[in-house]
Amino acid sequence: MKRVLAALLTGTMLVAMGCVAVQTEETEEVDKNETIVVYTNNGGEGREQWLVDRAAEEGYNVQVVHGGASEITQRLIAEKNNPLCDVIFGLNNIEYEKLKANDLLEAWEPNWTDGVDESLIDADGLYYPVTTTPLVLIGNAEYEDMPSDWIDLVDEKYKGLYQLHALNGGTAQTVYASIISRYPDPEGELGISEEGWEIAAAFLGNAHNIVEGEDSIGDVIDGTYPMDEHWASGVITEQNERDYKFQIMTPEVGEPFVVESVAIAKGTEKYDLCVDFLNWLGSSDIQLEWSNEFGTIPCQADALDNVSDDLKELMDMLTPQDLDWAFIAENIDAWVEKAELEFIQ
Amino acid sequence: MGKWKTKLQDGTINIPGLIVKVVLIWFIFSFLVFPNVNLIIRVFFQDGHFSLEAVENIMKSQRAINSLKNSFILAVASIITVNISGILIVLFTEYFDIKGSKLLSMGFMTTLIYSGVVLVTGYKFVYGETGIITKVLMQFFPDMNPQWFVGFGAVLFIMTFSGTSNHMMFLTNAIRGLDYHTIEAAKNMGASQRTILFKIVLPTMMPTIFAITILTFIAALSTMSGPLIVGGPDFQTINPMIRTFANMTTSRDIAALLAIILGLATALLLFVMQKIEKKGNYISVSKTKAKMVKQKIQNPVLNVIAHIVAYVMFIIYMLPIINVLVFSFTDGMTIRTGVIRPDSFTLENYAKLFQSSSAYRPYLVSIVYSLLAALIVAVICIAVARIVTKLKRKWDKWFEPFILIPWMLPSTMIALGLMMTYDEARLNLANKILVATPVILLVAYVIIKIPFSYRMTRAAFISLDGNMEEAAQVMGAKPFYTMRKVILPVIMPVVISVIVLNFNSLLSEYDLSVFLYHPLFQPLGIVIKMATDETATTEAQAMAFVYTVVLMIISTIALWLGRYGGIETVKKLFRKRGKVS
Repeated sequence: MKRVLAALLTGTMLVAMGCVAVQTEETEEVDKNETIVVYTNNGGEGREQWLVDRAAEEGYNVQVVHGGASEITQRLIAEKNNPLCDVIFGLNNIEYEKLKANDLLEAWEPNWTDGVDESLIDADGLYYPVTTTPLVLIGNAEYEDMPSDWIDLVDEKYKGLYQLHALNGGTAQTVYASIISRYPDPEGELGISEEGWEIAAAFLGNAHNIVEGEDSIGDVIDGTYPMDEHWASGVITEQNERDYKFQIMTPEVGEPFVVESVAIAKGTEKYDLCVDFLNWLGSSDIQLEWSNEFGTIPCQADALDNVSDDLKELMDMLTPQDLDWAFIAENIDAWVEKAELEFIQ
Repeated sequence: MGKWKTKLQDGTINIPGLIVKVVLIWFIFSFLVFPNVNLIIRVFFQDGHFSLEAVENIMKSQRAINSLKNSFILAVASIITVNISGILIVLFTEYFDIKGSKLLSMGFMTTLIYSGVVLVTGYKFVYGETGIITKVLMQFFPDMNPQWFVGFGAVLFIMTFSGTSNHMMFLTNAIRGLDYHTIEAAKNMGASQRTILFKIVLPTMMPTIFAITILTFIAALSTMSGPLIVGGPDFQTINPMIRTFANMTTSRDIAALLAIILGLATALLLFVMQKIEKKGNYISVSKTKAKMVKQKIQNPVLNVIAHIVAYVMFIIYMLPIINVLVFSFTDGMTIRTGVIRPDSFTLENYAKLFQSSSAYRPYLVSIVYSLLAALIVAVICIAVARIVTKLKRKWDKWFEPFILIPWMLPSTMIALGLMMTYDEARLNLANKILVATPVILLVAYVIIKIPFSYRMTRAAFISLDGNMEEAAQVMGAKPFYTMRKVILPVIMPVVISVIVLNFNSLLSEYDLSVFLYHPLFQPLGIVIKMATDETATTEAQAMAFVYTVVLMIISTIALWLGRYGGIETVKKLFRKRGKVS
């Protein structure tokens, strides 16, 4: 027993030291064949593997770090003094604004901005859009009382009939922000007017909150809860998988479009390589391939012209809602805190 | 100077012991105190001034108050129910002579190899709307609500039968360590079976039961999946809220405050338990212990009842895990809807598992991390438990509250504390930056497993027979020799159990890993989460089940190696082969 323990302890020490050694080696490396460390919230469903393999075909050596959007942001902030990240892929404007406020992004310019809607590009030239995800309310095909805007849901007659995702996720946060940011009031609590808070309270309080393990789409189809907030790419996947066609709400103000962008992290020692890599990753060819593989909606006009018919049909119905992202990014955490404490039942 | 010299010579000051203490103090300060205090200070001192706005916010929130209340109700109720079911299953498998106890034991062990969302979903498959039990009940009571498995009762039911892992591990050890002489002596003096059970057997198991009670309390307070999935709108608990707030920069004060409230409750329970423990004397007095012999229940009626209860419990334990196994072979749609169709079955999920060439890597990374962490934790806890239970200096007992600090904070906060503290060069770590190195995750794993491991190791030390140690010392054995040759062999079963449990639970750890993992060493928890994200398609949910089954296999191997003489069997195998060649 003694020997086993001693051996195990020695092993522990060696591995621990080895870990430290690995770390110092990394920073000293100046090979041309360097590894690009990509931080992303787009790693699930084989996306990470696809990205690594596809990049390898082009000669890039990619290492992916995956996490939820807010976790990736936290990491980047924490690693300020010892940055590991080279390139950020994914994340929405709310997160990028936080990174920007912490001075964690490097300015750059891709060679593919021609194909992208200029209004989506960050004014400071720090992050550039690649994909967009409209967030919509879907309904059971036979449901007759479909609302025409999110704020219609505050009506008592919709109580318990629509499903919302947990507020710690991007989808729910963005929809919530897109609603209350319509009621700005510099004098109001957290920058929102009294009316805005009343609507928020009813909207969140009357909803059915989706919990893990629940089949929210199935509940829409069988009518248990006939409405559900959902991301557009998922709507198409679910329609194909379940052979069903949902009703989709199209408010006059448009739908919140979550735009996911790419950026270069401050502190990277491979700036030129990063620009080169992002020029490739953001190009319309690769974005089209990505879309065909994972059903995303590319920002590149060329790529968008060639996406699947279902996706095109859906996109023709939807228009982006005009949102003040800086205002939202600054306040979203406080808004969510208030909602979690006071509104959610 | 001369005074010191004599003290050194007569052994009042013992150099190796002193070194151990210094290292422990360094560890406790650097990893348990400093990062967490730093985090708390930063959280409550936002914008340069101290703010208790969080208190106000929580008081205002009906939801927070209700959730807190529910958490406490659940914790207190589950102390009772989990102890009842836990003590029963251990008595059925180790103490009473029940037919087929090996099979029963395997069933009761299943909680050791799966947990979390998948476990609760397993229960939901059995008792939920489409579940087999609900369907059977509907035959008899056609008017009943098919969604009956919701709320406090459902959550407590799941807790009662899934929270018995610690009983199975540690109480089993305690029963096996009983001295049969005492039971025989009592019998000879005419004691009834009932008297023996309540006056001899249960009292000697008390230190272990106390320790497990605390663990149960904490587990119930911080439970996530149960209330989320079957709690329904009326029975939500506080931990999901804590997790949400811990992840938001500006709301961490609320998360910290809520966590501290739970921590204080735990501390109070610990204090009470310690007081009770001090009053009793739980050391078995015999020097030559005789092996336990299983007791046949003499009263035939009770015997039949015991058998029935044992097998009903066995069925309750087995149904969810069988469901998980079956559903891991079905497509995503089946798992979502819970309804098995004729064409549900597929092997695709398992094929997906190893579709990429490097799929085995996260398993390797997690196994190495978990094993290292489990071993380091064991060493630290043995050292501290030894110091605390064998007080030499008055201040030695102060190791204990410090070593239990991680119980006060949720793992997200511990990760954040490390990240915010060691993101710059610090003197106590020889000016190294810990963030973004592979070491930080190991440190974090060690930190979160320390309180639990310490509590169990301490219980083992308390029920240790002091006379053996005295004998060794009288015969001139040095402290470290006594430790290795006398104490360690006795407490080894508990230590091994702690190592196995820690290893199994760290394998798929996510909360800490997501913040701290190094890109080159991606642990399994991250891969699983990635494959089973809530935004992922229906296929993803199927993957959660497949990963659970793979984890079950690894955990079972770990359990077998650690607890059921697996290591010996492997050794024998190699010896035989050696002879042949």
